Amino acid sequence: MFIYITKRLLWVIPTILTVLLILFSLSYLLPGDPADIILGPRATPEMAEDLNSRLGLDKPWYQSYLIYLQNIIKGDLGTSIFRDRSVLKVILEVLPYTVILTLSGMSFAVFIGISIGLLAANYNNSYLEKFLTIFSFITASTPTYIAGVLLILIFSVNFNLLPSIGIGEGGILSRLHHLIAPALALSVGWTGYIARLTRSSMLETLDQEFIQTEKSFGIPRYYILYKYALKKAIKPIIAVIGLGVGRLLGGAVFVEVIFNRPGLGRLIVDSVNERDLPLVRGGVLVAALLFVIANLVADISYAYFDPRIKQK
Amino acid sequence: MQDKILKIKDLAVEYRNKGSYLRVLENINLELEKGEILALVGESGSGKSTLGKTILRLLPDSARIKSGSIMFKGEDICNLSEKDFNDQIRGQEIAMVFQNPQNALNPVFKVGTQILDVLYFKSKKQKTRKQLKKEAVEILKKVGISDPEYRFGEYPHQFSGGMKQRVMLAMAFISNPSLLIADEPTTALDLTVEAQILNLLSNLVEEYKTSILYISHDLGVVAGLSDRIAVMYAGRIVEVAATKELFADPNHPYTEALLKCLPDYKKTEELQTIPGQVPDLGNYPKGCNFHPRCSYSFERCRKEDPNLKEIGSNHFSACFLNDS
Amino acid sequence: MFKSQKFFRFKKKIIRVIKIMKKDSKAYLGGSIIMLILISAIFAPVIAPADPYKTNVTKRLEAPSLENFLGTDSLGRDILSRLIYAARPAVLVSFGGIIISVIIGIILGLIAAYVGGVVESLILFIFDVIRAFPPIILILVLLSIIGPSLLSVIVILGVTIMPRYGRVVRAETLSEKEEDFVEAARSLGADNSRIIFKHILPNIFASVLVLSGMDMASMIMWEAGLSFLGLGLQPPLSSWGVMLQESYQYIQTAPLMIVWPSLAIMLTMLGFSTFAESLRVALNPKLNQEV
Repeated sequence: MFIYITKRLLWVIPTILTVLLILFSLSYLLPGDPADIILGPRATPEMAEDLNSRLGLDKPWYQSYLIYLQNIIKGDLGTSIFRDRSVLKVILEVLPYTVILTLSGMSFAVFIGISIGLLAANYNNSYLEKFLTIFSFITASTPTYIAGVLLILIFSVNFNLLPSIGIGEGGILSRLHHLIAPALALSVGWTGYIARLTRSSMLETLDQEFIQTEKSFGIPRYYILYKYALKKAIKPIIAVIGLGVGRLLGGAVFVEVIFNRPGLGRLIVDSVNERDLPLVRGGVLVAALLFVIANLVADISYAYFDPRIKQK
Repeated sequence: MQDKILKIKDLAVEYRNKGSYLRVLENINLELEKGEILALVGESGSGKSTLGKTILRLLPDSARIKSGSIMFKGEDICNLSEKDFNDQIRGQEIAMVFQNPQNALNPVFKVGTQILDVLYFKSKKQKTRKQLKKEAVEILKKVGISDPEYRFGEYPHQFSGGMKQRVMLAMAFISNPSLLIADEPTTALDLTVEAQILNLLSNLVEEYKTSILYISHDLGVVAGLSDRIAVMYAGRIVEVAATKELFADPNHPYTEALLKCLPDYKKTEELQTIPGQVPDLGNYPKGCNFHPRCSYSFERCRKEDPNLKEIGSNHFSACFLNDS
Repeated sequence: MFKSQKFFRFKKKIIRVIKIMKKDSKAYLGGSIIMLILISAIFAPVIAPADPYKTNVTKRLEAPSLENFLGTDSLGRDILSRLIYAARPAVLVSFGGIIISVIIGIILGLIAAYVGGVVESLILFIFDVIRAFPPIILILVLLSIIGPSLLSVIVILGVTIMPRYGRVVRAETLSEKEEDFVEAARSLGADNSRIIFKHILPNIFASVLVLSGMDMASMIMWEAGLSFLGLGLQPPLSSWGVMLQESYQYIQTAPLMIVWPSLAIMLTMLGFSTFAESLRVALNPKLNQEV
């Protein structure tokens, strides 16, 4: 188990280095002259020179790359061209919003998904179950942005129940209020998946012999379901959560843009549009790091729950 | 005439299989006296386990009782709602022990917890688990588990097969059931352990005065244990008689063949077998289910299904040979 | 001898799979939706009631009527016709993207499994680097470099998804390589390419097929999402995502408008995923339950 973790960690390092290389080379890959594209026609030669040196374009690439790497290790991700602030600072400002959004989305997905799955397993072979299965399929086929749009349509435009813009000023209640729709939108796709996973895992557990024993001794069905079956069935769901976080990070991009919230995803989109290269590099780097960590955790928890590896 | 604790009349059970229904149990008529040990004997696939599970409604959702009644203490328990059935019957009046103790207990919970849960629901959630713990430990001691206090906190995989079966028996007798259905409780155990468990069972029965429906494929085991034996083949009961009489004077050709198959260390001839194979569950031949393998079969056997008829004092058999 | 035997088994397998799927309602649902999309895409000029590009400033943002079943958009164009025509980029993106992913994935996977050593590690490493990025962000950044167009979207989507197929093909090839019948075939003189095509490919075919069903749905989702953000296809090219983007601005005044492309996208994804699910169950006889 320990060996497995170390192996994976070692593999991550060269991957990240390559990611850094790719990000670094962005300035060379952009078509046209960076100064032109980024600064526009009103750029003065001094500004162009300044930009070039900032992007490391005035030195041979391997030198620039080394400087780039050195800076990263020091924690310096560069300076944003358009905001004129440290990239790291900008990112750290908005990152918490993304984290909160992602965690809320995940919580929604897990609670709602497991509940639906439990219901479906409990009322197996009934119309309710068929309905829930169809519902899970439909939610699993709903992209995050469409869920967001539809939520806005129904709850903001039509019923004016939920705010559609921003994170909310003043007080935690307002913030929570503004969090509901975005988190729901984010969770929709994953909810369906968790529901189906819960259901099948429960049904598999319920099939086992000891359930029959407990039933024969008069233990009521609801108790069997929630105490005995659930504990066994919940393992695969935990294993899958790491994956979900990764997926939700991607969905956060859409949610932040649609609901006009600050966050890492929104930052990346904005900086790509502005061609703010240092910010793009920094943002994508952080996103990739988070993604890799989430996947790593998912892999490790998967291995942890896999009885074959655990037995070692 | 002692009162009959269990009276099954014309019971038929089917399984739904992709649109059509397979008749698994047919024309089951069985009676159990109070305090009696009735053995239900048959090969695998005869439907004996299914019959046991039907009584306690432990069949999967795809199965249903097509017709017939199950009278327990004079009341038809088929009419009870699921909730009532669970509260009143399961683990209260009727209990069951199963064949494979390895899988019978939930591996992620301590043994003590599982016993406590049964006790808790039996006491109708009146007593707390703390109060019930004493009872639980007592029961463990009674079934012969040494060091019960300590064993209480262990997990199933830390118990041997025989000990797990003792725990199962403990859980079954907790509520002092009137009827115990034992589905091949010793089949998965070693011979020495089997003897111990059977001993334990007899003691418990004597103490609690429980009636037993003992399901087995082993005629040898039930010979020393049961008062009466009912023989099953392919979803039907083909013969019922007092144990001694069944062995001394079997009537149905199947019973006869079964007895011949019992290995006798005194004889040196080849082991006898019954030619042919047991039909698949639900796929029974037209006419008497046994006729394809029966050496006495004649015309009528191929067309009609024989019913259980009384052919002697409390001796029933389902064979057309008795009609002539 | 082995060649015909394996092929015969393969044919039988297809027939068996089709039989199982015939009884599965999900297959019909998914299949008919996919057919609907394909027909819309191919026969758009015939089916669409009006010219999707024809603007009519006098009839802007009209509600559904007899003349325009789904109403008109901000430039007076018939929404229904635009919806039908937008099936084309959807089909092109999903099928095109998948073909690229599958082909590159199979090639790289086979090479990795057969050549092994440094080459294999290198290929796996490339996969890992691609997978280190959250897909949306990778697609975003690549698109900003190359510039959005139908072709670039297809290629980028293909490259982003490719690692999945590469890994699956490599894993299955590795296990198939050791199978007895491969040894036997080789002893009879079959060379590698024959083995690959006649023996290995039919086996990985199943997994690849199921995966591609799900991924086609994802690709449509991503293209639409990016176009919605304004970073994918650009007008006058019109996809459902572009329609979403156009309708979003009018969500307060003409809320119904955004519903149509949303439904189209959801329906398409539903179709692909249910069909893929039905395929998955049919191809794996051990799985009797649905997930």
